[in-house]
Amino acid sequence: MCAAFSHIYLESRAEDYPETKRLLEKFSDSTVVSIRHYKDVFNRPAQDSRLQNGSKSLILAVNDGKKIFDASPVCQDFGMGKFYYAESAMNCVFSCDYCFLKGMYGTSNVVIFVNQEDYLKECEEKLKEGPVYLCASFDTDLGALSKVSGWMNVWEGFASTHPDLALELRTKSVVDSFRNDPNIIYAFTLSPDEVIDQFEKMTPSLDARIACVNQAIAKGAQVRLCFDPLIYIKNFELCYNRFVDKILQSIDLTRVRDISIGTFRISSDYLPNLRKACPDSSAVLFPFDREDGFCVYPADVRSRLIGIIKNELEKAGYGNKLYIIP
Amino acid sequence: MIHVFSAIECEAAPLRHLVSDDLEIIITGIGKINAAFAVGRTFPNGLSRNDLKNDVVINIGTCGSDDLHGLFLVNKITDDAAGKDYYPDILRVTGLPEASLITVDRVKTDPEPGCLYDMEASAIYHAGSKLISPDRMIFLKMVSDNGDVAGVTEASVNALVESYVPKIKELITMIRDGISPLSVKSNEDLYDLLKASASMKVQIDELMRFAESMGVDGRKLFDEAGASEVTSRAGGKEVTARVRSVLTHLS
Repeated sequence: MCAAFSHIYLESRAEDYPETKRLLEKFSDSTVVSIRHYKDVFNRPAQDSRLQNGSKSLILAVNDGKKIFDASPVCQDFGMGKFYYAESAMNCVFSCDYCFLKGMYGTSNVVIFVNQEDYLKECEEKLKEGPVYLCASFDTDLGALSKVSGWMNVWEGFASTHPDLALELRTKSVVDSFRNDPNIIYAFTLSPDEVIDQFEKMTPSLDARIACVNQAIAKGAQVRLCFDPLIYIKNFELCYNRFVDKILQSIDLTRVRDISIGTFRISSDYLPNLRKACPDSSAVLFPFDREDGFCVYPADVRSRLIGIIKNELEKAGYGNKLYIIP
Repeated sequence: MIHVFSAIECEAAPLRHLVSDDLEIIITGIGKINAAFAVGRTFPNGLSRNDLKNDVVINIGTCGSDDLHGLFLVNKITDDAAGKDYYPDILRVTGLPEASLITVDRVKTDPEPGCLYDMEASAIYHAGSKLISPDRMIFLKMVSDNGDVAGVTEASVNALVESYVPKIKELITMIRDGISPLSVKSNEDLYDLLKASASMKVQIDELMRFAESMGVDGRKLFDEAGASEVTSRAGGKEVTARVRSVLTHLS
């Protein structure tokens, strides 16, 4: 999938970067609007993100602030040491109802930061302090953006020359090339088709994602499967049971590095925006429990959802690969 | 409601026949202060964004340009004096050419190429943006001169606007089609039955909305949980808790 953008908002200071030139050439039909700072467009108050979804704009900017951040405590660190995420881009070309980005940003427009070298320098500084585990596809889906931006290749290239960096590239997209470096982890979010159809708009089907996972495995890449977020839907037991059966039949899990499992959870601060963005979606209208500033399913629902996947994978002998966010 | 703001009557006269129950034309007068005052008067204190979630602001007027000609949809407004930029969201495919606009305090006699110049837009955006979202602020500008306003008369402005009325009508139709008020269902009768407090009302609304999104008859669930037999607020809480439990265990 290659997103089209009706408008490209271009920071004057971003004009001369090679990534900018490449993107402007690629989207030569888009209307280009010159801007002073990306926040003037991205952070406008009261944007209608639902309406923007049908006509996303791209914002090309230079990030002169912090580029690499400490990861959130609700994210799985897989026991891999100092855990950071890089804000290479903000927002996603996909439009999942439950995505925290919808809650965090009041817009559907996508920012791509073009000063890639500055990010790599900041990462090198972090590496001087010891091994780093970096999620480069956190505030976006870099796999989905890879048809647009060169960011995924940039991070892959950097990781291949920095073995102390464990790089995670998480995606719902169908990526078409993989590296087999031991420190580059391709993390695929897999969901049942019922969830994809209802809540993961514009994303590839489960079959397409499975095919992509198998392609990565065949190339010898490090593969992580993420059954996260598990979503409460009608008949979820039947649905997730069928789903995990399909995964077990379609993917050779002995060749998968690890598997994460987690139920939907979101900061309480983000839920109002999420409900505004998707006012009819049961994924966000669920009457959540509030725990430590997060909206979560009731404990018994969490336990049942996780149990479906966990029990089946344990029965099949993959218990040692599981990382579970309770 | 669609609020059309124009600076002078001769810009608005050809549009007068469009005035209806859902469209008004406001003459602001020339310049930023007049424009901001007119917007403020249209949206008086006490209104919230929510009150105006279906309102649209359209600024229709003439402008100057060195080299551009025709009718333009503005995608960027710069307030020349303040050095501040504003970006109306262009989310509709209108087929109109787009341009950036600079709002100046005096007629720009030596305009830069590639730009439009007017005297009100930045103030209308700035004042309007307090209550109206950027996709519902639309700026349509017709080039009447190149900075030399000697030849610009009421008649020439009138004729210029008149020539674009079909395009403007098309855009207004598109805007009207896009306004779809969200229907908010009232659960007043449930509040009464359950003797609901303010926080219970929030919970009831949440459960009813979730039920609807799951394709479940929420009202029926409340009835089955004994809503009609509630005699105290505590009883209402119990019923609400039972409904919540059903809805969160549909599998």
